[in-house]
Amino acid sequence: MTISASVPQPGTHRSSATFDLTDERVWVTGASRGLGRAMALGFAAAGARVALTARSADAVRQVADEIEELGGKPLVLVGSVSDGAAVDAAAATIAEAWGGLDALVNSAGVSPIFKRAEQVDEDEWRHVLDVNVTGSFLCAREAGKLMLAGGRGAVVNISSIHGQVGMERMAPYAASKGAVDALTRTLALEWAERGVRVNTLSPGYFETDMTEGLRGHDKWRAHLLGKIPLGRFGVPEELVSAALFLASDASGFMTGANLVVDGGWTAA
Amino acid sequence: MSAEQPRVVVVAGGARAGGMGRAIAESFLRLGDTLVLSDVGAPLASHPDYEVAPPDHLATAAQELSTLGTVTAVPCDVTDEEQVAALFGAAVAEHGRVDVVVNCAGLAIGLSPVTELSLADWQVNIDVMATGAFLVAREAARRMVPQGSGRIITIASQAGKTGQPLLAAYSAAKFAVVGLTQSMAGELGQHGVTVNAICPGTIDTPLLAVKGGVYETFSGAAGRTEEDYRKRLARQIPARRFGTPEDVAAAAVYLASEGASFVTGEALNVTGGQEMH
Repeated sequence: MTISASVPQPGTHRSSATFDLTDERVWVTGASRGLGRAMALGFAAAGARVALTARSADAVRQVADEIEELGGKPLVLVGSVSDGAAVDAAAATIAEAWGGLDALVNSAGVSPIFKRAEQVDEDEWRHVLDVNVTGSFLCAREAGKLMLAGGRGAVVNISSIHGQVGMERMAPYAASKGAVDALTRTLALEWAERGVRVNTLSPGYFETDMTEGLRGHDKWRAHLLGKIPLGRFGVPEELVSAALFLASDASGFMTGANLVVDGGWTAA
Repeated sequence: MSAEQPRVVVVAGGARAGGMGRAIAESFLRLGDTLVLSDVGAPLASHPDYEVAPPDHLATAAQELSTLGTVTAVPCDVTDEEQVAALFGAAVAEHGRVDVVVNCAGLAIGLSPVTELSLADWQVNIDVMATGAFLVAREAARRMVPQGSGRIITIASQAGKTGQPLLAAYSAAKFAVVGLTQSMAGELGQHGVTVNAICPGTIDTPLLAVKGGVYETFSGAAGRTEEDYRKRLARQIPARRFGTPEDVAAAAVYLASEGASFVTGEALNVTGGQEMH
């Protein structure tokens, strides 16, 4: 996980600094689709050993197959991140297989439900908070135990720009992501001295399943693009590169930070 | 930015040995990039006693760094718009384009209670760190917009996120850097140019130790020896250590990388947890 190992000799140019994670043990949640899937593939491509968590056994198996075709040996851990027993079991499997953990990419999450607040019922609200907040906490807690025992590690919590800026029809989602941001800061303070860094990665709007409906809708598409100074949606690789940076020693002095990858949305 | 061609990287304020600019310059050279290195190289007119990097540091730095790759050294006072224009003119004349700009020019002057802060001390902070950031970024933008690509990286500070006692002028200048960065990001996105700030925390560089700098001022204010102050300061950082210039350089390398092409308007904390907003 050293940056020096990824730096080529002078004269061999590489503008796309990829941060080396060779043999690092990385747990990726929500790994069956969307950004989580991209994270799983991206970390495996960067040389990491990956453990993949998702609710759908078939879907996560497909991602694992893709990684195996590239020569990786992923662990597959089926279960919901909001189910404490499943998270404990996943962590136990990781501990048994690898003897420790170097990074957690907390990318499991549910999509916004796009309802005005007065129409959101209690179950819908609880479901979003269960997965996005409680799930992030449970995985961070269990991963944290493993990493604290090893004396080093990095947690990358995937939040959203809507943890910081409001958006209509997103009350539960935005609240859940604000909670993730706060969780990051507290965990960062608690674990810094013991070598475990905790940072937030906040995506804006990316070309993923989650935004497909919005991007395909003429009015929403124009509305969203109007808020992005770069004038386009992000591609998942641009979030993976940020996660690789936050998981690697290149960000060794960063903890409690929030890296926003949004094409300039929150700056404007 | 073609992956085959070396990028042309301008680092202003990069001569001082042990400084952030120097580490940033070195990191880009190690990636195979072409470096245009500048520093002020002459005492400040308003503060002739302040220890800027001595004039020969730029030549020495350029010579030492040239073992890693192509280095063009250009003296530049970032508060002088003609010199800033000349810096970019030289970069383009020599290398044809400018792909990445990192302006690290900064100083430690006027660390004092506001009631004792002179206008001259206030002004030199604003001139070098706010106006200097503007002039360098403006000139970079003028070169990058026609290219349709570029990365502008400003160096703000944790003091640009949260004001701190005895650092009024410095904090004001660094807040200005963050505001400038956000405005420019909004304007330049459509032209393929990203603009981001790095907000370093307590980084172990010679700037902390200059006369009238952080060590002298804050240890004096606390009635402690510098050594004792250093130890106490490290304990206030959640990571329990000072940052290194290389920690900051790695963030600059990330922000300049292809992988960061959707990141703009950010003010990235590299503080070991000292600043989280």
